[in-house]
Amino acid sequence: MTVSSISRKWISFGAIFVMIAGWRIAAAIIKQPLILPTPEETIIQLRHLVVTVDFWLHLWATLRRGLTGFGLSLIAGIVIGMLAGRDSKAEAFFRPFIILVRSTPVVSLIVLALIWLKRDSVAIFVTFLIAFPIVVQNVIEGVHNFDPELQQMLMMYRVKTKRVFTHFYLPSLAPFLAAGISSGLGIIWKVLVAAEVLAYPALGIGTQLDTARVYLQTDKVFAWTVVVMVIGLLFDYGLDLLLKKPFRVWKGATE
Amino acid sequence: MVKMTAIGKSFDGLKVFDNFSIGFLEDKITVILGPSGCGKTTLLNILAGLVKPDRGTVGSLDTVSYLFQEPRLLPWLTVWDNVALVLRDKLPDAEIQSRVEYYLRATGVSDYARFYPAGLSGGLRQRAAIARAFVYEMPLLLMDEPFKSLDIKTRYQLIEVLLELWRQKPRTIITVTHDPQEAVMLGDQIVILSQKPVRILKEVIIELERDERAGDEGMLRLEKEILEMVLG
Repeated sequence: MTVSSISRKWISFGAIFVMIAGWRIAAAIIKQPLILPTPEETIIQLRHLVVTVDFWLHLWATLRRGLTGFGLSLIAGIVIGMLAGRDSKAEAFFRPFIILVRSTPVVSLIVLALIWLKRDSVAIFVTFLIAFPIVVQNVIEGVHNFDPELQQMLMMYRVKTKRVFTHFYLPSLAPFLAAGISSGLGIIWKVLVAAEVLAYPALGIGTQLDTARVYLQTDKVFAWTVVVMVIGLLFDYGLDLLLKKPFRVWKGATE
Repeated sequence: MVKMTAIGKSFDGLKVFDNFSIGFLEDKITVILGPSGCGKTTLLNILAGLVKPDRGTVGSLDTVSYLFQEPRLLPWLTVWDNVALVLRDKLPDAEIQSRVEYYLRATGVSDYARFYPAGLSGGLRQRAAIARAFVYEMPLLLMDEPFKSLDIKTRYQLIEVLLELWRQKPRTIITVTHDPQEAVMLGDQIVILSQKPVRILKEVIIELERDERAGDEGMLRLEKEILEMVLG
């Protein structure tokens, strides 16, 4: 680690401190926890929440929806991305669909899902549609980056198709999939929770957020918000670290 | 015998081969030289079945092994796995094991078997590529300037490695190069090609044993002659 990256880190920590201090000062001035609770009140509320069984049930319900929706978009994204990446006609065909999904307002997607689907599936469906364009775009880019010289080598040596898939396609796609997964899993939670607020499934962070709003438990709204932020950050940075590791080996060093 | 008869091939109306015929010595090494862009790689690709000629017949072998100019190793596989990959689904595991070990030792990369390509020097990577080309034991091995991007010392080391492997298990090797010295070191048959459309300018069969070639008067003359013809 270089000196400048250490000092940059401290600047970022300082900025976080300034944000929290600003929040604390604003809360002290307003003096109305119903409008703006203090950071301490938020932490106390969080501590109350995490010891309840319900907290984990709601958390799990939301995580499950997110991972299901994302898993589906991953499968569809790989299949369609491979097709579109290898054949420019297929890409021309799929491109308008991808643009359609990407440019539809999120809230319209949620409202339409509310009309078409059952409460529990709304968030899954919306997550799928949000993540799909990200995954597909990354896979297409990955396929465009396939090394033609390696492909020719595999053909010359008559390597079987299934092995070309596992030993060439997947590893070639891996860095692009990793990028798609960590950025996708970083952003879906915001949208997913919004969908839950509107769909109101029996279990879910969104339902809890809205219930807290209705009962004017603003500290609870803040507490759940922190939870959603932490989920997003954990997936984004955590996966980034986790998924980058294997690629470092390919770029140097020994087994 | 590997041969091409009355081959015709054009790319975008440009005739690369027009009624071109050539025969290659069986289980010997043929070195092909010629000016840049004359169609040497196309010739190899026709032999490998990668390019279909417009006319003529290729009396080639069913499957060939190929040594490229670059090592073309998969970066996510170790040297061992890279070499073993070309035998998978074709031989039993035990057989793969012993063959890969044999060729890694013969090419001098056994110590690096568990390394990924990125951790190796260019010379070691090309050694691994040679191991892969030989482990895939086909009667015909095509090589497209396999030593081009290596420094002189590594180049001559690898030529020795290659000759040793070939002596142990002779097969027909057809290689392309720009280097007259390399040609004289390697070849039993030397073929010099012209610009497009490709004709054979000169064909020489060298009878002299390889270890007697260094410093031999006739070989030096041949080297000089090749150089002049290639420079055109």
